[in-house]
Amino acid sequence: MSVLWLLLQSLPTTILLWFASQVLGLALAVPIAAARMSKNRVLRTAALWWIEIFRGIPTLVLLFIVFFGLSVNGFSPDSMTAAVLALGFSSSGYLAESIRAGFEAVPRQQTEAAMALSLPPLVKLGKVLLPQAFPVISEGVVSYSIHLFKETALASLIGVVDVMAVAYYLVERGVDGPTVFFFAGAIYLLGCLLLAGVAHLIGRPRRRRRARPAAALREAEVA
Amino acid sequence: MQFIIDLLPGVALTMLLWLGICALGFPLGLLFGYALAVGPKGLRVPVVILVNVARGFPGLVVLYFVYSGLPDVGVYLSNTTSVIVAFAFVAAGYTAGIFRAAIAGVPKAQLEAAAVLGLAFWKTQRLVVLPQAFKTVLPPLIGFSVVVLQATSLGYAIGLRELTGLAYNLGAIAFQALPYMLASGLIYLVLCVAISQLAAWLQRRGTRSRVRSGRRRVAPASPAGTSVIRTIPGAGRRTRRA
Repeated sequence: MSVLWLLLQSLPTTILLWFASQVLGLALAVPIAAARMSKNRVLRTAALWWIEIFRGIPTLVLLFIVFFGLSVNGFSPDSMTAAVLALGFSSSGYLAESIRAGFEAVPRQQTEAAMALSLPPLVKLGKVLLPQAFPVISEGVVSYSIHLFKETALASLIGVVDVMAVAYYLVERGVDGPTVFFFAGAIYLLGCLLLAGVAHLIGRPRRRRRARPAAALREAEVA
Repeated sequence: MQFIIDLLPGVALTMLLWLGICALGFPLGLLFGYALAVGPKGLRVPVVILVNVARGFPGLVVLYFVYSGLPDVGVYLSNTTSVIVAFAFVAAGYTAGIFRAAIAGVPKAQLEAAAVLGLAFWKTQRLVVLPQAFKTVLPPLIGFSVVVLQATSLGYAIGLRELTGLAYNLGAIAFQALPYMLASGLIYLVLCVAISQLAAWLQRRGTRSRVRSGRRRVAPASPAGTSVIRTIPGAGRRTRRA
C-alpha cells in the first residue's frame, strides 16, 4: 500500500506535465490547422511539413532533441520544460490534423450556403462551421489527450520525477517489480478511463444541442 | 551524412524489432479480435480486460514490466525479446479493435449463405470472413505499424542499441548529442512517411478497385457498397455470365 502512496505522490507532476503539453499543443495546433486549410499554397505546404515532421519523429527522439539541442544554444531548459516543449510540439501535429478532419467533415454545401447568405467570415466560422465541426474535433482531441497522458511517462527518461520515474526508482531499490509496475500502470489506466468518462459527460449535452441546427442559423441571421 | 551512416546498424535493429512486433502482435490481435467479435462471454471478459490494459498502460510501463518486473516471477527475457514481447502485447490490444470491427463488418447475409452451404465454422472464416476482413484491415494495420515503428525507440530505455539508443550512445561518446539525435529523427521521419505513403496508396487502390467492380455490377439499383454479392471475389463476373 505504501508503494501506491509513493506513486500517487508524484501524480501531480504527471498531471501538470499532461496539462501543460496539452495546452501548448492546442495553442500550436490551431494556427497550423488554419495554415493547412488556407488558400495560400506556401502556408499550406509549410503546415503539411510541420505536421509530417512532428508526427514522423518519435516522441522520445523529440524529447532528446529538445533536451540536448536547446542546451547547446546557451539556454538550457530543465527537464520539465524540455518535456513540455517536446510533448507539446509532438502533439501539435496530431491535433492540427484532428482540427482539419473536423472541418473537412462539414459538408461543402454548408460553406456555400453561408456564402450565399453572405455571412461575414467570422460568423460563418463561429456559427456555421465550428458548431458542426466541433464534435469531430473534440473526439480527435480527447483521444489524443488520452494518448498524451500515457506519453508523459517518457519524460521520466530525461529526469522528470513523475509516476513512472518513482516506479522505476522503487524497483531499483529492490521493491517487487511486477507489483510496482502494475500499480503504476493502473494509475495511468485509471487516468485514461477518467478522461474518457469526463469527455463523454461533456459531449452529451452538445449532442442534444446539435439536433436543432435551425436555431443556430436563426441566431446567425440575427448576428 | 556521416552521422546517418554511423546510425545504420541501429536502423537494422529497429527494423528487426518492428518486424518482430508486427509478426507477433498482429496475429495476437486477430485472436483477440475473434474473441471480442464472436467469442463466448467467458472468453470475452478477460480479453476486454487484457485489451484495456494494453491500451491504458503506457508503453514504457509495459516494457519495464516485462524487462524488470517479470524476472521477479522467474521469467528472464533479453532486452531485444522484451521489447518485442511488450510491444506485441500493446499492438495486439490496439489492433484487436480493428480486427473486431472488420470481422463484425462482414454482412450477416454472407454468414447465413455460408451456413446454407453447410460450411463449418472455421471453413466459413477461412473462405468467407477472413478474405474480406483482410482487405478492410490492411490500410489501418499499416497505419498502426507506423506507431509500432516509433514505439521501438523506447528500446533505448532498457539499453538496446536500436536507432535511438545508438544515437544516444554515439552522441555521448563524440559529444555531439544533437547531430546524432537529429539524424536519427530524420531516419525515423523518412521511414514513417514511406510507410504511411504505402498505406495511402493501398487505400486509394482499394477504393478504386471497389468503384470499378461496382460499375461492372449488373443491378444498378442498389447504391455501391450495399450489395452483398459484390464483395465475394468473382461473384460479379459469375452473375453477369448467368
